[in-house]
Amino acid sequence: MECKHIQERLPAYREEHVDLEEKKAIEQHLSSCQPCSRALHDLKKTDELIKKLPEVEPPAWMTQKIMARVRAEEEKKKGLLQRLFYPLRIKIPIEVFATLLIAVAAVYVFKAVEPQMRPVGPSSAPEQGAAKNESAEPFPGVSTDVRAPASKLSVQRPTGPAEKKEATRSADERSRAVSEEKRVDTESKEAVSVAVADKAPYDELRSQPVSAGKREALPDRAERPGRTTPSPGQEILPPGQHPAGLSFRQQESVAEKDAPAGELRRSKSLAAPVPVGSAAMERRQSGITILVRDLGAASKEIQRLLGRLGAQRVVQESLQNAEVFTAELQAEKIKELFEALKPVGDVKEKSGHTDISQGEIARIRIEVISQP
Amino acid sequence: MSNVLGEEKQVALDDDLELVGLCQKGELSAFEALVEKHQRKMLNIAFRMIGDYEAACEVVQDAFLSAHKSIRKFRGEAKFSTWLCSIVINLSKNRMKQMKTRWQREGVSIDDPIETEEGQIRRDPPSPEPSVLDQLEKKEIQAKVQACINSLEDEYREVLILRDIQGFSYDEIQDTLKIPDGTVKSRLFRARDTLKDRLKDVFGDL
Repeated sequence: MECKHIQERLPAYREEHVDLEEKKAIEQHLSSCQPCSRALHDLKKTDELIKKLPEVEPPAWMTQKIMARVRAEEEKKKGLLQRLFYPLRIKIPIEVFATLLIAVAAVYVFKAVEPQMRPVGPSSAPEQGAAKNESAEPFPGVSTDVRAPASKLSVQRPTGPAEKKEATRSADERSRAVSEEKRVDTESKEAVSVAVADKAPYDELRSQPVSAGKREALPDRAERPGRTTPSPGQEILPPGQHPAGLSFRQQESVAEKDAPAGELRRSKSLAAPVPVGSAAMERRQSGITILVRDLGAASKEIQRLLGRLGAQRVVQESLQNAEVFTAELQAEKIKELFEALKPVGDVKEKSGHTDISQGEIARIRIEVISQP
Repeated sequence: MSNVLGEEKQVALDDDLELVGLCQKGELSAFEALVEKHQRKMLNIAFRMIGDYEAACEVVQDAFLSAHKSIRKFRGEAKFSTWLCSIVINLSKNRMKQMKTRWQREGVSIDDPIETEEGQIRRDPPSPEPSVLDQLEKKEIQAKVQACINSLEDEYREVLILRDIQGFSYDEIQDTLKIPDGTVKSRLFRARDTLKDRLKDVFGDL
């Protein structure tokens, strides 16, 4: 019992971790006890054995391997930002350049898109369209209405849902007009269906009896789509279509100025004397409606008049019971024209030319409607 | 000897702090210097803990990697070497556990280091001759001593290695193992006594 306790204390005794009293007691015991002094000897021997254990050397590749793993870990750990910017002197210039490039591209795209995005007032629209036509076609010719597509284009682009509603409405009106045409005339029905199928109805137009022999030659087919279809989805008005329907379309696209819907509907009927709805003209465009008894003679007369007054870009359009002339005329000559037209038939001026300043070129539209 | 080591550590502390500071700023070369400086000692600790050179090398690599990962958390409350050492010891203990479970699963090979619950060493009965030590090759003796160390329990083995093999001061052991001074000593004395008994079992008389 005594020995076991002593032997347990021996390591502490060796390290001098016993108080003086215990140390004396242990030493006393050791001197008399053989197994305990043997145990102390064994402890010393154990210590020697342990101390004799050689140190091992790390393999030569150890440092490299550790550092390789550390670097691999670093790479993995590197955040996205660090990876994006890491060699600053290389990547920063690249990034600056890329940013500038994007900025320039953005400005360029904006500039390219901007003109179409600008809301176009109804007044400037026809001018734009006219200018386009001028450059596209140097000589005047007979054509379907060019203004309508032009103005439609300028209004359709910038608007959102309102425009959509309007489009559906006009489509609705058109289809109604088509059904009306069916009832009235099979020939015109054909014409309408041709137009709806987006086949240019020029042959139809050509074959129709256009009043005067003085009429300008038709521009060839290839040229026409450029003029009359300035934007995709823009339909050419069929030649057989009713003038009122035509003017309704114009009016719709020009942003519904002042004609009540009821009047519009009335104006759609073929027999309607004067389509009041068509009074909604662009401001710079004078609209004149003449009710005549002899359509052919009146047309000839009007062609002659326009020629005399130096009208430019005369476009004659033959509709079923009407001839529509559009032309560009010196503003001061409009009054003269107006007076000269009075003997031809019952003249109604639909929109004034009062706001057209002197020297300016104005577009005029003359609808010659035969009156039974 | 411990005195000499103590002085060395004092110097090492200053160097390490500087290098550690550079490491925390992301200087890989500073970390490389620390690896160069400490790998030998860490390998020896791991080797004595595990008893297997290859495994010890892996443990040391893992320990340095882990130290690098968390070097920003090192605040200098303890010496860098002490901190590193605690990582090595913990990883070594984990490795021992893995190896033990693998041995248990796969069965024990005769080449494996002697792994005992006092069994295998005891099976080699003390020879009647006064001492076998003189008859054994140096390497064999070392292997057997290592085997006896391995047979110790973790808590005894670690203090014994740190104190008697690596010559750590009690304070350092306390810092490394995070146990109070009294526990360090009592474990150490117990470890020596146990080791002595194991060695006697292996070699007969010492």
